[in-house]
Amino acid sequence: MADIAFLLLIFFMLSAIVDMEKEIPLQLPESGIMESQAGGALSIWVTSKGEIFYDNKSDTLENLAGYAGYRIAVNPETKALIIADRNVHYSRINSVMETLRSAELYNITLVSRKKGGG
Amino acid sequence: MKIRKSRRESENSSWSSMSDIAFLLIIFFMISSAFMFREGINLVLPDSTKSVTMKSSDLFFIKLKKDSSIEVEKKKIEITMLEERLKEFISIVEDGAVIIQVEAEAEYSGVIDIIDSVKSSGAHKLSIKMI
Repeated sequence: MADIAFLLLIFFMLSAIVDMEKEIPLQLPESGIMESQAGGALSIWVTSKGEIFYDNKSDTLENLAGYAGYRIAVNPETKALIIADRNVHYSRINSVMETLRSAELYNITLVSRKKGGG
Repeated sequence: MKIRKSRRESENSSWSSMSDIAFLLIIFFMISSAFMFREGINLVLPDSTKSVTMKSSDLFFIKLKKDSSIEVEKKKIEITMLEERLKEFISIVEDGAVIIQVEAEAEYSGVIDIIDSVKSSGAHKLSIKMI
């Protein structure tokens, strides 16, 4: 019993570590309205330099369109999270949103931090 | 005889408490991975095939410039005043739409600030346009 317990423990610890590695340090914008969005969505990271990351790699907008289209084909209810730095130019976010729209992915969340909170 | 018995007992008890700790940690990691929520502002992007025509009196234009200043009806306005203005507008035109015109080089956080005030003012029709 204890063997199985330790096996599961190691599994969950490792999966938590793998999740952590995906994080890219960003300064998120702040907002007062917070609507939560469960995991499993397509996360798109936009750094302050305007680089785009998704699916654990840096990529171009053209490839993002293909990938979003594939995700929509697999599950039409797919949602997207745009996790962008607060200092990035809006034009970059706009082109990401246009790309998602062209792939018929309409449900997006602009991820932000709670205003005033830690 | 006595010594051996007590040694076996102590071995048993140390293993059972070990598995207790292990299960406790398992539950902790399971719950922490299940609650990987992201919080932010939900938007539904418009379908490109549908277009809506609205009267210009039902529209409220907000302009965000690249120096992060906000203009309403060609007058500069503070972000803190924006929500009040929007509430006034919504009380007059209940079904009004808010159009945010953003300059391409404006900062993203400024856009989030405006969407935030629009959403908290109760307006539910929102359009973001890049100029």
